[in-house]
Amino acid sequence: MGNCANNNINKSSFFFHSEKLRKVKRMKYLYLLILLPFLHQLIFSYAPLYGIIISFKDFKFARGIWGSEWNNFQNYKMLFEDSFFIRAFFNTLKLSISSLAVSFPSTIIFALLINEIGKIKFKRIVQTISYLPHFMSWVVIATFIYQLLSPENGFLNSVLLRLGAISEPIYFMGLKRYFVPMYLISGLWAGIGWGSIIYLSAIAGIDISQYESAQLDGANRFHKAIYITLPGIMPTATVLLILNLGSILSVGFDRIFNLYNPLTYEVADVISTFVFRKGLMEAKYDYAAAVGLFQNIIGFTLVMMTNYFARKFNDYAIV
Amino acid sequence: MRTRTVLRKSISGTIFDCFNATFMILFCISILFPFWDMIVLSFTPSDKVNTLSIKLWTDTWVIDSYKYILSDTKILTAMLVSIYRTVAGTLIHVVLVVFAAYPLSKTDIPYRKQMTIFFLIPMFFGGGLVPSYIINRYLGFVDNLLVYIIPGAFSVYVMIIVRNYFMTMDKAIEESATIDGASVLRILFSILIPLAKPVLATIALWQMVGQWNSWFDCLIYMRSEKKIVLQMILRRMLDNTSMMPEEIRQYAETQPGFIQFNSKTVQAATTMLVVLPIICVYPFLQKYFVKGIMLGGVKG
Repeated sequence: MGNCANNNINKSSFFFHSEKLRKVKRMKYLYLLILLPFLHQLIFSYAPLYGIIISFKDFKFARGIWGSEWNNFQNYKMLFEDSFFIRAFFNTLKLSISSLAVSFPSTIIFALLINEIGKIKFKRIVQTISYLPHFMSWVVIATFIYQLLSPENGFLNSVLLRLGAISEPIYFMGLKRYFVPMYLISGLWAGIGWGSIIYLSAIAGIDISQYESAQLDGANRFHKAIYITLPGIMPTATVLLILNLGSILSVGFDRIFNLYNPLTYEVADVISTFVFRKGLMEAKYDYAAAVGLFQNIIGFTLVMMTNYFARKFNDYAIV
Repeated sequence: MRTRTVLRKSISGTIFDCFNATFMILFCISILFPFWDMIVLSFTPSDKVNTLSIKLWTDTWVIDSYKYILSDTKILTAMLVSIYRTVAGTLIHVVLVVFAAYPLSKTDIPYRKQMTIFFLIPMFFGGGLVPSYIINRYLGFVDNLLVYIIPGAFSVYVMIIVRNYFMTMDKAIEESATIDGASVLRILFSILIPLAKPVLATIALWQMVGQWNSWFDCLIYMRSEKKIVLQMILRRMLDNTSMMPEEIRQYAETQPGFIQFNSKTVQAATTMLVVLPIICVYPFLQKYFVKGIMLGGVKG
């Protein structure tokens, strides 16, 4: 039994090896099942990543990806010199940050108010109604907005005229100075109900005994809301804030595209709509791909950064 | 000592409740008002439309606009296309998601970690619009009805939700089935799926709403009029009204696909057509929609 030790080692690795193989064999249909989604991912999620190299080339569709010449960072250089891109970049930041600044406190306050409703049935009804806009496409919502703000027969103009506040109807959607307010208000209309769901479920998870002992200490409803409920949802709020900050450069295409028009490009054009026009309408694929990658990388960096800071100060993080 | 908390109705509390209730009622009105405005508009006779009076009601209710859109073949075809993509797209989506979620839910399956990572990576990086467009073009999806259901047929986020759900299900049932000699596939179809109905219903609903509301792929991939979706028709009507100056509108009239009767009532009626299925389904299935968020944990 001189080389018994060797034999044992060989035997054990062989044993494990076949154990794994045996499992694979038993579960082979599972691998077959997962093959389909796997292929889908490969084609539709990984292959486009490969398409990123377009941004480093002078892409001509006829020549294909390989036939087109490299132009290294030419496209990226163009980016920083393109005043329309810079405009889109700052519009994106402006809209994103103001949107966040408005919706973040609003959804929390709304959740707190909903939480204070005593009658369950009333509460249920209000909540159900508040989620409804979330299920409408932005095409529909934009149709509502154009109609309500219409200078020909819209509700807002009618009211303002009747009140004597204005003497002539205002074409709101065509004026740059009304775009941001309209954008923010419509964002609230569509999102406040749905956004409060997370907070309401977080509130439901707060320990009830905290409220009871506060009651004993003489706290009224207001105190309870500020000192118990609010801190109770801070973890959730922090995580959501992180998520939102990470996606600050991706102002939704859908929403802007349906709400903007050439009259308001100056304030409304954002990176995603810019990519759309340059890439698909002007067919400047390589340039648009560069913008897309730029957006992606910054977004990713932001998520990692905000996550890092959150973890450092709060112990609440995602990754 | 048991303490009884007596809820004394303080005056300030009641005042607050009044204000809160009023606020909530006003809030609900503001949510519902745009819908109501559109409904009234859709039933208004065309000659009464362009007046700047506060319209909360109309004296004469006519169904002309509805008669028009329901007899327009373009709109009817678009509705069929929308229905097609909603049903087919949801089916494919649920199937693919389950096909990935089930194997990954088995903690003892070999290479689980690698496979999961494979699915997760694209969540952080994306090629973006242009590379995806080019890929889809190579695949022949331009002007192809399949583009509505295949590129979007799988979602990692949803797959993870279902996977987690499978993982929380009681192992005992699976184990006893295995002992009884059932193959893994059999277990999936006969046992797990019926048990997972709540989560499957939820993701199916999510997908259906998403498909019904989609229009962007239609915008960039479709060339023939017969293959556009209902949302696209609405989108075109919006396009026409959003360009105010008369010259632009006259120019738009010469473009292909311009909706002839783009008067506001027709637009309103079409909007109602688009919105109606969701509104009808919504109150009854609302709890499924909401549950989706809970299942996913935190969703922005």
